[in-house]
Amino acid sequence: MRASRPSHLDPQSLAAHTHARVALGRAGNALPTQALLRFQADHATAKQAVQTPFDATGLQHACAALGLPWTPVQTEARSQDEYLHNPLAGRVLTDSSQRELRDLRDEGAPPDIVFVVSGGLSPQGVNVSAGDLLALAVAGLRESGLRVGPVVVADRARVGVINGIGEALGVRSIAILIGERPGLTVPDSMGVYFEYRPRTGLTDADRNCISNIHAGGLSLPAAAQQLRALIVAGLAQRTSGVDLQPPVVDRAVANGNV
Amino acid sequence: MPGACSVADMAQYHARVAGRQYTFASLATLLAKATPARSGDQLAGLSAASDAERVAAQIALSEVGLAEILANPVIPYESDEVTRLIVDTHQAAAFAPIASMTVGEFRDFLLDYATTGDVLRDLAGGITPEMSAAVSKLMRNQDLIAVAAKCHVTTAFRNTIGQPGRLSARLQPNHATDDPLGVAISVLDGLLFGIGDAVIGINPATDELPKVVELLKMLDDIIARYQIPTQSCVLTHVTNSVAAIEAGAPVDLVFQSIAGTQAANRSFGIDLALLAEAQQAAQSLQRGTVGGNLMYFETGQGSCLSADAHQGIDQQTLEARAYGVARAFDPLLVNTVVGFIGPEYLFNGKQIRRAGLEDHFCGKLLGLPMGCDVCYTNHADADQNDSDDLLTLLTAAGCTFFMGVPGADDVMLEYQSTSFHDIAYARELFGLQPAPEFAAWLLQQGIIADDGRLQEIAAGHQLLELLGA
Repeated sequence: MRASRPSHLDPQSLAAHTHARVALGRAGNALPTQALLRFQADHATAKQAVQTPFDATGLQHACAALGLPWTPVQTEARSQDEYLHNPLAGRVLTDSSQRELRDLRDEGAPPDIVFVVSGGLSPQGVNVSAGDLLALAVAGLRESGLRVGPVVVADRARVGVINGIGEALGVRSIAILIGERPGLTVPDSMGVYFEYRPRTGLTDADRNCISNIHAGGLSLPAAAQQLRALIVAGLAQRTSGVDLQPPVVDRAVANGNV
Repeated sequence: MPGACSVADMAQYHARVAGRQYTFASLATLLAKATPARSGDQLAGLSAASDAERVAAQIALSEVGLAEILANPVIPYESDEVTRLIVDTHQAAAFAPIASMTVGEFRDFLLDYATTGDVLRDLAGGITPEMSAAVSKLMRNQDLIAVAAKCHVTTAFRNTIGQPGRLSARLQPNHATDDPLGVAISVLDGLLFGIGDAVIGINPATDELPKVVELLKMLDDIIARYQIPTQSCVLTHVTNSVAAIEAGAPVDLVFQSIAGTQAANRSFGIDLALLAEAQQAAQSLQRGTVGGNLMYFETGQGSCLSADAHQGIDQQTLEARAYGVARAFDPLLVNTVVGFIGPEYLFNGKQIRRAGLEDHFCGKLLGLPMGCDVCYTNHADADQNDSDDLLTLLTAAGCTFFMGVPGADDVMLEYQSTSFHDIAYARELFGLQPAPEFAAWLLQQGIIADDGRLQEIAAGHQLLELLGA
């Protein structure tokens, strides 16, 4: 066994067991130049993920390919700066957007599920994953005979925006695909929050979350499968959040973007 | 401010600045508006509307008596158990020497040559969290540093934390999936940098009890095998720690996040009785060898607002009230996680720096072993230089401990804290040593030399066995 142990000076063999920045060496007490610059590059990448514009056009193409109508809405957060400063603004739709959603309301046949998409804290993550996840999830939901409503495209939104969107549309359930707070190792992760019978006053405790969706994390097919199971369970049990009997996923956890 | 004046008048406070008279309706409003600017108070609608209004509030606050603050809790006694704790445990005898002072006089007194560390230690039980918050609002950053540097708070479990000339560090070997070998690699890397005397503390990726117990056993094995004079902690909910104790797991320290209002603590799923129950459960194990402090608390400005439980009180005053909770349980460590919560509460490096200095000052003044997680998230306007600044300032202020995270990058919690390298830098720059028992162990292991500097590690060092764990 001893022979197979990695030397503590061999970062590559350690990297198989942890992404932590170990065995960096030191210059005096400080980081050696190479490790310092790699960190700075990773930080710049993560900050860029926060500031990357949300690609609404790409998402609209994805919706069109699925035969799903889509509708853009605005939150009270008018800039990315205001979005970061004021989480309340990202949870509230403008008056005109609320009116537009109420006009789309289908009293006769309310959708079983509506998807909202927002760039959140990593628009880059959503640009990469949202369209493909929607395609996989919608196909499965249609197989289950569920009615999927219009995709609501809400840039600069927080998770809580789904209360107002769901209420305005009068839907049975709702899920938001949103960019997660970027880290140095994973700048482009996306999360999904699900809520049954969305309405004002619901909190994290009423939501279920699938997080860590990115190339090195939860794969798109696995995420789509979990999401479908979650929606089916929520509609069957008529609840979400801590009261939902766990089908396949963890209950909502604060993820820095609520 | 020529012509500035203030009058306290039946819970109405006034002051004149730049030709305009400002009025503040309550002590809570006065405290909020006197607070240096930060995004969380703006978000809550509590902030001063202008620099002039902020200074007016500070002028009016400087004239308020400490006794008036004691007599007027910012959250009513009847409706909040944190207020009841603060009022019921207030020590009138300790308070007597400062009972007649205003907040402004209190600041001058704290800075006076004659007010030594011994004086401050005897005073701590007479100072309420609200008094500490109030005086901090009148202090510049250098005042916060100068007074905190006079305070010495010593605690002990398997080593002694907080002595003058010492700087401790938590080894934070977090891993995305709690893989035991992955965690062990980070533990080893930290130990070889002289990190881990405050605690070897893991934030687990999952709160599932069997996983928590597995991590506890693993850390206990490492500490026992190499006879490391330190303590371990898995930072899980307090109810989980109690369950782990009942299951026979080796629990050294009990961790919990705490806040400054009963409502915010309820949102964390705790109350004072639950903390007391957990403390007793851990004490019953008698695992401390040098001392009996075994609670590890984490706090952070903005947690009450985040839980929608701020009740109209500014986030810095509420943070100080969390320290009121902490000191009822004789903690080994109290850690303000200052930049973790995000830019909606502390927007940039400047706001994080100010908050870190305030938190450390208030905690020390109240008699707590205050450490700081100097940190930021990637959506805040901050970077490593901001962390360097606050780390250096807090070391000058005598901060008890910092975090040691591999390369400053927490791969589980996705934020940037301070690194093993950063701790080595701060210790050398200020001539500080690790906790005495731990420093002796590091010397014996050949990790540090007689001068305290890090040594090259020989290829056959026994700690390298951890890589085969």
